[in-house]
Amino acid sequence: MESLERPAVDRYGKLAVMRREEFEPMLLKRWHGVDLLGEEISRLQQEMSRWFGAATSAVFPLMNIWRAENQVFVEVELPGVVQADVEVLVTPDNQLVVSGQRRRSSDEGCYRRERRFGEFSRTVALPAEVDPEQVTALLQDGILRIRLTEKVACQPRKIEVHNGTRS
Amino acid sequence: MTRKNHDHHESVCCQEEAVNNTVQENDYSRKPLADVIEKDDAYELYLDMPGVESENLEVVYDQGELSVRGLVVAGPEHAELLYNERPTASFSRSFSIADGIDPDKITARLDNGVVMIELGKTAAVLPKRIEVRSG
Repeated sequence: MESLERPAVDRYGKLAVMRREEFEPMLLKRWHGVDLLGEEISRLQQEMSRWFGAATSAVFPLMNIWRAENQVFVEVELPGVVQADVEVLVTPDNQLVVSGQRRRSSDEGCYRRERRFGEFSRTVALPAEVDPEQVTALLQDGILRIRLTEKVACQPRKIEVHNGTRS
Repeated sequence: MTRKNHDHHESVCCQEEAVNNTVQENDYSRKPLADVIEKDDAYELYLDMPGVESENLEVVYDQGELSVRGLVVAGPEHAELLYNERPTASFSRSFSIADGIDPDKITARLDNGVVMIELGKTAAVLPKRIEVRSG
């Protein structure tokens, strides 16, 4: 008997639809081509931080990814990072790279340090091919908001079939 | 379960309230990470609160307790969340302020999602320069 929830196949031939209760970050493994291990480890570290109540964050910067129709939205938490110190790249193989650094003013007199400083870099494989000309990135209130527009899938081209004749 | 966060340093400016630790990292609030820097005449408290705008930020000092709360703006509407690392809750954290802080010398500033709270030391704890008189 056929299951009522049958996964659909998107135009890239990958499983696209997951059941609601499976929508954990763990599931994103199926979307991500690379940086699987890095992302998974950071997520595990974050889980452990939460369980043991550690004040420090193992992952920096934290990000969320949404998708609506033909657009992908990425929000990256970058408190205290200025525009000149962050770089956003879309690579030809459809990865989004957010990198940069958070500068620390001074270490003197610091007796409690929870916030991370220094260089950072996050790479995610985008769930669909995006048009690099249609990407916007806005840094405001410590959040970097990136909007990417997916490339419109080409319509199938109809090929004329000619009748082969032998004379 | 209550936990008290203790600094290793002797002179403790701020201690987490034991009460506050019971509400950390649940559905309703998220703890902003904090750095504390001691200057000559004040303590500086830096809190990471990305996404918080000034009208959604609340800093309250009440009888030795400093509370910081910040509402965050929701993500894009009608969009499917594919990958979620950030807690959806708003920020909240409380600190117990030790003696040596002048409540009238507390100021707060919000810059690029970082809240900087300056807590001025009372005159009593500031080093006093002693005039040397020649007799």
